[in-house]
Amino acid sequence: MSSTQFPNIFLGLEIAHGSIEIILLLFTLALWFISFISTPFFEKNNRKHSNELYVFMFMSMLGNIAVILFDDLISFYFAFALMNFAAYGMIIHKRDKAAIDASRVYIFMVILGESLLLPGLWMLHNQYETLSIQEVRSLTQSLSLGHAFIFAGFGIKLGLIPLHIWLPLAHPASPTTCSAVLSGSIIKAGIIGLIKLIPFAYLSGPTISTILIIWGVGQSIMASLYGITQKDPKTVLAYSSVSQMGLAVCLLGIALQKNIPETFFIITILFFIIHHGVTKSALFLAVGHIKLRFIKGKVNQSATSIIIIAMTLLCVLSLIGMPFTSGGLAKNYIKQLLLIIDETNTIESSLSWVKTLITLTTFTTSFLMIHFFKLLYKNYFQKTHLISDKLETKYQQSKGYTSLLLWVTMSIMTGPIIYTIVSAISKNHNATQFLIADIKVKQSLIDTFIPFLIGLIAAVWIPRIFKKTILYKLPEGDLGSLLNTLIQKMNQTFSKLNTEQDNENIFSTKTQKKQRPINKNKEFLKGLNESLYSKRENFGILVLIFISLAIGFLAISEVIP
Amino acid sequence: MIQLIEYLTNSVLFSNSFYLLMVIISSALTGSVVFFISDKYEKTRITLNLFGALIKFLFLVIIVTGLYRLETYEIDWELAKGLHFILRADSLAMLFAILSSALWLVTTVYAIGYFKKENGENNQHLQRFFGFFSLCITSSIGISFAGNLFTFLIFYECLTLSTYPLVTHSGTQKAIQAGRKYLALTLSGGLVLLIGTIFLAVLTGGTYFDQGKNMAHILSSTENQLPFKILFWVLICGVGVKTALVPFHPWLPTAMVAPAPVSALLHAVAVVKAGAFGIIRIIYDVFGVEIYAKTLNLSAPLVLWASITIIYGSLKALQQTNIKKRLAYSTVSQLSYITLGVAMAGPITSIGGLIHLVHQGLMKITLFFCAGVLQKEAKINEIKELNGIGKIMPWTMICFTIGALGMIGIPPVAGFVSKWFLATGALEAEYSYVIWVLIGSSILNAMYFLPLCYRIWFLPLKSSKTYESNNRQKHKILNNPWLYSPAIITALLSLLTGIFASHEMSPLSWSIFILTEFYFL
Repeated sequence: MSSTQFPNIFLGLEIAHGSIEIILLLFTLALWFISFISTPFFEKNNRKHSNELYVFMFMSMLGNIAVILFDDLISFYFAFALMNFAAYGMIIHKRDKAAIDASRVYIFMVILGESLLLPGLWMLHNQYETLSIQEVRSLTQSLSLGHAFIFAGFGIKLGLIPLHIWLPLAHPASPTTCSAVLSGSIIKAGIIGLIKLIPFAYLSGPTISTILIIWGVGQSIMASLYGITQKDPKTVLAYSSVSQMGLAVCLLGIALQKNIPETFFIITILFFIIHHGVTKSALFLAVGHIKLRFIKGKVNQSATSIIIIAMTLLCVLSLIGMPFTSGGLAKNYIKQLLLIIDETNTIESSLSWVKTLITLTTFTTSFLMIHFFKLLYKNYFQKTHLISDKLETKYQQSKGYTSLLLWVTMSIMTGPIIYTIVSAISKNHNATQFLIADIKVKQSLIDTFIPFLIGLIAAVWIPRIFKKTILYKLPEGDLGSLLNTLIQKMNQTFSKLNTEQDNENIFSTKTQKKQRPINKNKEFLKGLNESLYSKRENFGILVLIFISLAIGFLAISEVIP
Repeated sequence: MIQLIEYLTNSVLFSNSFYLLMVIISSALTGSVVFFISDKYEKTRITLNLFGALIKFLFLVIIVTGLYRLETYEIDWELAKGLHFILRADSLAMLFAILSSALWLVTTVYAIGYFKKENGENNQHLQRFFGFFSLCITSSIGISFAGNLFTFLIFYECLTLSTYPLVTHSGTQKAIQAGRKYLALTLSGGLVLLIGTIFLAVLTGGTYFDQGKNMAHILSSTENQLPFKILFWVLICGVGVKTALVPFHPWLPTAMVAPAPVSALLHAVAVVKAGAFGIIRIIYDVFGVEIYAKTLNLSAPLVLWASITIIYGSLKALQQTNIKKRLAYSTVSQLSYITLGVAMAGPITSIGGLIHLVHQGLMKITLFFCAGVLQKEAKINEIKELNGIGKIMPWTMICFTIGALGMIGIPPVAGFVSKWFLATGALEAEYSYVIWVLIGSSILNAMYFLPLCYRIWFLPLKSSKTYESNNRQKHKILNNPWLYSPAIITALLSLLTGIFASHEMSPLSWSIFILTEFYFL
């Protein structure tokens, strides 16, 4: 592990730049880069606070990069806090009721998370008497109270199930590109923090492991089932994120089962994180595009929109875990990890039940994702007509479209890219073998197709049965709205200041402006004819891109010699 | 003649004790001259004030470099038999002295901006104001250099008396009432401290800061520890008034009627820190860590007291609707961090307490500066009027946000470093409940500071008539650099002390240097 130290900053800043950090850095930078490129396109109709949005996005990106690179407790905590607090500005950006409620719940959960994480860090520092994360990792022999606090603190970030409340509220409320990075890379910081601070592979605790596996799979199934009742495609995607993070927690549990080679575990979880991050962000962007593109009563069934539909479908399949997609590869690695544990295990603690559970999650995931696609079809694709070719060509010129293309190709390419990077850097013979080791296409086809087909049938039939029951009126963010009113009540009783009044103030001014009914088609045409960005925004974005590229190049140049 | 000059240069002028005296005299002298400069010669007064502040800071820098060369700075006058007036510059004294004189320099700039004539308000008695302002800082420096409890007491009372005219500066009924409350509480605190000092002199035969060596000698010969325990609590109650420990705190919020520079310097730094500094002196220098923590077992109750104050102050702050009052209760809470750190008597907790002396000063003075700017330029006193003010005065409000985030304990602002040391030290000293006090306080801090930041940055500006009617005039006044530049300087300092916490010139390194004297000698 290579790292650089700056003893004067904080209490000794330590920056790690090993192969793992570089892989994560490249992936994170790519997500943020595309997000920055496409923000002006998605936000062109809502320019009110756009400068602030860029500032917050940039700060959050810096925090996100620093979470990956910083390798001592204090500066790591700084990076985590910077990322979290800056993301607040992204969530509140729209300033409507949903955004304000979501941001209120978000900031509450952030503060709760920080105040769970901080005691954990203090306890670890006190226990191991070092600030370096590397040393903390290497000194950890068994799990302690401090680890529990750290787990809860990061759990809030990655949406561990009772603490996930902010997630389904924040994603639909924030701008398209912001929910893409929120889901793609910010919630991954929770997993990154966990695998940085706790050496899951070296520890073994069968009880905790079993708890985590069941917790993770349970979360995955429950989130999917709740997500099915939702009507906004973005909310459905948010629940899918919660569900997938459940699988990641399950993976952490599997690693705790036994003392296993760390490279296998790291490769599996990194691959899972990156696959999910890229695919989910692509889906969020796709939803944004479809919402802009398929406006009721107009638009087209021409080639480009078919491409968009096809790509969305591809991402959906990848998320379900079809063979030949990054999702399929990720699931294969999980199964291979299980095999490695099982090979050396005694008979009584066989892990075949975990395999069954994972197949079950494939079923619920496909149920959820088909529901998602159905929603898109019903709300957008079905109700559209052809429009003239002139508009179409103008639309094709827009850069938002290219950014989507970039992203989707990336998401399909993740598998090969990561594979080559990992195998090039690790140079570990075992690790490469682990990567290639017999991917049984036939077996995995059977493993995925049966649950997928059951999910397909379920997604078609079950909504018809329960259509008019209360199940389909469940609020988004399950307990989120409850928590929101609770926070408001708490604020009022404690601080005697009525925030509600101020909020009403905003809404009333907004509704006054919206007195005229908006002709959506006119707006759409106007939006297309408008030049894409103003010069100022263009300049700002160029600067941001340069900075992020410079950081990326610096990081790469550190590795190559 | 030449011999006389040589004598002067060698013995009095440019000797170590000369520097020590000059640090105190520089502000006392300018202060007393300022009393006689009327408003006609405003510029002379400004120059004189700034000159005094700069000179003081310069001499302090000279003393610090001297201390690095291991020189000693001490003055010892015997006033009566056994009654010594001692001034001594040790490393702990320098921490407080440099903090207060540096912030005095900044606050003087701020006060000049605050009382500028163009604002056309109640600007009478400025000579009185600046005169007492200088005397105040003289007594603060005196407190930091005091070499025994007797000298400490003298300057402590001077501070009380010279602050009274500042609190009642505006002359309104409310201000006079607040001044009365302030005087009643702090003077009785001073009286208790006087009783304690006499008690100490009777018990140990002197009031020296000898880290409890004399006391240990006496304690080893007697079984009866009770008088010493009583002595400790009497002394703590004496200084506890200025530290705003919980039942003694009411003067601090009421004294917020004072003009903003007074609230900023005195109620964030000088007066309240004099109390906290007194607690540090009593624990380390009068009793010594050994006697305090091990022989007399005084640690646990004081830690509990400080914890209660922290939580109580935060809860009270949450209920305030006035900005300055909210800040005042926040001061009550944050001050007890210092007491808490010192009271736990572990080396790491003590580092946390000592650096919080500096960090809290920097952050709280920033907040008060900003509150003053709001009060003076936008006529904003209440929290609900803050909506959207970030668009109008962005720089001031960025400073305010930095201060608020620091108070919550979010890195990289300085408050985080002190919280880290306090908490890890608490775990080491086996006061594990203290980390929950710290976390609870952080959450409460977030609850009363973040809504302010939310209003400032995310809510739309209320279309009140005051902004529209004198918009042009506002534009002119809002750019008063005398007012906002001090806030920017202190905000930057609180950021830098956080980011470069382990640099050798940082308060943290200096605190570690100080504490090696008490723990590892």
